[in-house]
Amino acid sequence: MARTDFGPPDFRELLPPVITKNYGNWKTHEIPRPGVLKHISYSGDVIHSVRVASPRLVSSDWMLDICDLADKFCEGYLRFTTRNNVEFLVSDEARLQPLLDELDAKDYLIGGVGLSISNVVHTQGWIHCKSAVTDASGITKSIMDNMTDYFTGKVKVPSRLRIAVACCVNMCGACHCSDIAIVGIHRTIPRINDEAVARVCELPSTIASCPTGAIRPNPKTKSIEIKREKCMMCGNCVVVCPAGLQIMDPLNDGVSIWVGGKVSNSGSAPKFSRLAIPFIPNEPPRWDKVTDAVTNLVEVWAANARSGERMGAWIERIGWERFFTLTNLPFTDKHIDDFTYAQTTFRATTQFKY
Amino acid sequence: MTEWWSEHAKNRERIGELIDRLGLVTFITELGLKPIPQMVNAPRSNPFIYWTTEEVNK
Repeated sequence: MARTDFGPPDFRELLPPVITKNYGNWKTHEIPRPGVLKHISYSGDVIHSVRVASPRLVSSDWMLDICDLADKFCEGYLRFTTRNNVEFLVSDEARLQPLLDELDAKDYLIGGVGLSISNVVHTQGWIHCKSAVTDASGITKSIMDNMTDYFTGKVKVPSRLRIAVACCVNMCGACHCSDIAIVGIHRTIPRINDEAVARVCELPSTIASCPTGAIRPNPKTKSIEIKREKCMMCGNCVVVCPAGLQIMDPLNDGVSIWVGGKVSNSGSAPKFSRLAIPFIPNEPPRWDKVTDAVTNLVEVWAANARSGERMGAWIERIGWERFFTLTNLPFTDKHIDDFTYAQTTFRATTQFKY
Repeated sequence: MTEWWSEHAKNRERIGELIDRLGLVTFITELGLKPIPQMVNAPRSNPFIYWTTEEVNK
């Protein structure tokens, strides 16, 4: 196809030659050491991927540095995984150890492969999102600092574990299907500045932006009003009408923690994450309560799950009632679904334990 | 339960349908029951938690 200047280039142009040569012809892979994948093809060709943690929001210096490393050791070939790890694709086995040595010397974290906690996926947060509830990068950094030994494979875990952080309920960050998900929660509806809404905002598009139909016109003030019971605090209207609406609320914004989701098809069907902790207030810069809660969840899971059992599979085996007892978390009215299809989550049988 | 149902249900609405319409949380709150995990198969998976005005700081 002709090359254009919009969109990414065809991915085939970006593959290392050894992958192009053996495309669709890979036999197996092994993990020779934490953070390194060795893929072996039917033709006998081998490629190593070296996985390194990234903070996702990166500086240009850091990008230049990983590009230099890729130029030096892997003919310029690297890629980012779905959880924002960097993978250096090493075709020449002789250059594997020198790359690992240089990464170590430069304090890059090598790991995140196989039975471990991979990089934390996260969203923009206060850095540049209009409706952010929390600072996604700050929480991610604090969690990763605690979980380094799980990433590098120093601490062994029963299965892989994926952590994600999203700074509001719109969840740009894979939170609906991660083993542990931290989701920012607004608890108050947007405040309306009637004068600004009337003067600056386009009322029909603001009203139409609401996914639950909670906004209606207020003819008296020539502005809008929001029905509290219907608002799900997604911030859509704030994006359409930033001058007149304000959703960030330092007193009431915070995060919730969700568990047991996964994307993979292996073992059991993919699962949504489900509510474990409804609310923890924002506590920058280190979010101690959030990191403690995540550590608790990881430790209880690691101590109780069988080999190969992910968070969701483990909870399903022992039951949610045991999960709340083991993790010492209170079960509240917030855990009971009250949204669309809520009824499908209610228990209507006597199959429960105390 | 019967009294709560006879007070709130619409004509020919059974108690399960009423709980479905008003919510399990409303049902247990008005009956004075404590929420426990045994009441559900699994906790909620959507993040649209409803916070009452009493629960949030002014």
